[in-house]
Order: sequence, then C-alpha cells, then structure tokens
Amino acid sequence: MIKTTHTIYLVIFILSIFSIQNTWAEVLPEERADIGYHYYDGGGVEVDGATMLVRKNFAGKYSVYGGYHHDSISGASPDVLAGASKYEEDRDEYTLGGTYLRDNTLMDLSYTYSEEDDYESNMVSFDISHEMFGAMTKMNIGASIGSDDVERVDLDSFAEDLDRYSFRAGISQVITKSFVMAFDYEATVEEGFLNNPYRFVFVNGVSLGSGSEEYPDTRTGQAYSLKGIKYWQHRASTSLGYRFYRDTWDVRSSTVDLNYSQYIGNQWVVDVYGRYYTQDKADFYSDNFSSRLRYMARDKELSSFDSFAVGGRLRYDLFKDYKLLRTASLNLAIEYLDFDYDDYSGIESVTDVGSLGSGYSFDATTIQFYFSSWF
Amino acid sequence: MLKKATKVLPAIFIISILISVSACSSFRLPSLPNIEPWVAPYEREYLADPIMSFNKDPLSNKYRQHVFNTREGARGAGYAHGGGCGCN
Repeated sequence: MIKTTHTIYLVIFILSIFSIQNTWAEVLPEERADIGYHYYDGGGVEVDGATMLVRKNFAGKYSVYGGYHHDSISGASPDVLAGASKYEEDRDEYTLGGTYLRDNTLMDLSYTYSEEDDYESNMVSFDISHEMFGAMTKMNIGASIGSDDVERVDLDSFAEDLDRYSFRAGISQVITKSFVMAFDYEATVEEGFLNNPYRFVFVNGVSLGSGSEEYPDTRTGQAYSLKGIKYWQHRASTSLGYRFYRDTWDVRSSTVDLNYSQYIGNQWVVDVYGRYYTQDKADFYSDNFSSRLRYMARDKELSSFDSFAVGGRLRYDLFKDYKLLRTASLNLAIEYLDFDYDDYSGIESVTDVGSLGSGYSFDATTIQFYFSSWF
Repeated sequence: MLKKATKVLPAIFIISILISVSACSSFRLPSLPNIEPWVAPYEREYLADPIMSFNKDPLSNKYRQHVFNTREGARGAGYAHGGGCGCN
C-alpha cells in the first residue's frame, strides 16, 4: 500500500514544509456547544434521538471536547429483516478529545466509543494540522485505530472481532481572497468479521438462512476527494466536492457534493445542498447466486446503485453577547434521500423469490433540529 | 492483507512522531525558500466568514455523513468515520 521509499519522500516533504517560518499563527477551534434532535425515516427503518457536542478552550493552547449521540432504532431494512430477531434497539456513541496548539500546529487526539445490543466499537484517532506560507496552506495527516466486537442478539455464543485502521492526509490551499480548494486522501484497512451476522443469501432462489453471508476477512480501500469553496459578493458561498473510492472488493464509487449558503438580513442563514452517489458492486455480490461460492454477499451496500439527496438548512441567530454566550442560533435541517438499486431485489422471504434479480428502491427523509451557542 | 496493515502502521507512527518533534521544537531544515502569501491579511474578510468553512456545522455534518456511511460502500477522505452502525 505505502512503499518505504514513498514514506521517506513524504517525511522529507513534510519536514521541509515545517522548516518554513510563518508570520501568522494557527488558532484553536471555536468554543461552542450544540445540542439537538435527529430523525430518520426510510426503507422500513426509523431512527431518532438526541445529539450534542461541546468544545471548551483553556490557556489559549488547549481545547477539550466531548460529544454524545443516541440512536433509537425501530424496524429493519429488507436484507436484514428475515434474519434479525429484534427490530428495536438503541445505540449510544460517546466522543472525548483534546486539541493542543503549538505555534502553527494543531494536534488532536480523540476516542470514540459506540455501543448497541449486538455491536461495540472503539476508535482512537490522532490528527495533526499545520498552517504554512502565511496561513495560505494547511496540511493535515492523521491515523485511526479501531477495534469492534460483533454479536448476535439471538445467539449468546456468537462473538466476532473486527479491527480497523485508517491513514489520512490532506492539504487545503487558499487560491484567491474568495476561493479555497482542498484535497484529501484516506486509506482504510479492515480486518476481521466484516459481514452482517443476520443477512442471508439466495442460491438458485433458495435461501441459505440467516447468517449465510461469507465475506473475505480483509478489506483495503482508498478514497480521494477534491473540493472547492467560493465566496460571492452578495454574502453567499458555493462549495463543490468530488470523491472517488475504490477497494480490494472491487467496489468503486463516485460522490458529488454541492452546497450553497446565503445570508438573509442579519439573523438568517440558508443552506441548500445536493448530493449524488454512484457505486459498482463488490465482485462477490449477487442477489441470487447460481452456485455456492467461497465468498457470497447480498448486502445492498455492496450492490450496484445510485443515490441522490437534496436538502436545506435554516439558521436563525437569536442574540449576540448575552451573559456568558457570545452568540446562539436555532437550526432546522431537512433532507430527502433516494436510493435506486440495480441488482438488489429487496426480497424478504423465500415466498417472493420470483422477483429475485429485479431492482429495488426506497426513499428517506431526515430532520435535524438543534441549538448552537458560541462562548 | 495483515502484512499490508502492519506495514502501514509503522509508517503512520513514524510520520506522526516526526511531525510532533518538528512542531514542538525549533528544529528547522534549510530547504524551501520563503513563499510570500499572495492574499494579504486585510484581504481575508471573505475567507474568515463562517460560511466559507467546509465544516461550519460539525454536529449536523457528522450526522449527515453517518447517514450516508451506513448505507453506502464507500468511506473516507474528508468524510466522517468511526463509531458503530446501528443497522444490524
């Protein structure tokens, strides 16, 4: 993946860049607190819950932050429905992190823990960003190491592990006084139990039963993204981004993101955004296999599909400089999503096998309502 | 694949250590020349505007990316990661 010589070049390049003196200093992220509610409804699944994120700075060079996110899930998507014995569950995610500022360098260490009835996830991330050339350029690199435990709610003896690693690097560049571009790269390595313990596969129209998927033990992916953001004189901005992803399972995808932000008066900000995603299936995916193979997947996330999303966000600034708060806002975001699968039929049981091989689609709506404050 | 993972991790570790050392000390290599910024500080009003941030709404963006991550095969490169799925 990364040859030794490439690593040496990267180290020399980074050290060379760090050798350049700067006249502007990096700053810590803003002190802010966000608390809100989120709701998702689509594809037979409803998810809602509370979410919050708080960041506080100390002594001008230290920053700590914490986050909490709760998902209350009911229902199950078709590919899971026939196997999952429990249609309701909760997921809690906790994040704790610290950031240290030294001259033009920010160092960030964070830990995320997520827990649900049949899945537990631990991840440690370390990121460094560095401003240079008079704050015209910002470089960042980072790594994450994660360890997950996979279980089944209906089978106490079932316990599997999954280890995850990622390495990322990026650069953000001021092009003009109103235009910024950024490039990011991320390599991911996953190793362990990668399939869903409930999903099932069909072979010649016959279901092999819950848990019959079989995936390789490893998956290595690489993602590249390029994005730009432009400020317009009428107090607006437009951002456009493209990401390409490919992995060792032969999944390839492209993502296009577009966002438009506009101030209205002194208290309103409106965001309108759209997203298009397209993906080619994994080489061991089939809705209905013609024979038993070593690896078999019927996870619709590994099939060929397109999706698009359109949404908007309204922000209303409540006040400025009230007691301890510098400013605060109320936010409402609504998004519509559509998923259109080419080679996944959405069949839930063996009584529907006549439809195997046909397409499947579903739409979904998300709503977020939250309060943000800066202090 | 395990060998690939074990090759990546030392590289990550070494790069992180070197950058940390470089950032936390006065160590400087006499290499690249000084490059003068072509956008002066007094010309950065637009760049400093909150709507010019790629991640101006961290809580909302994180949730949005999680919704996509759990329903798509791709991940990474400036997009949210980590945590469980809530989708079993």
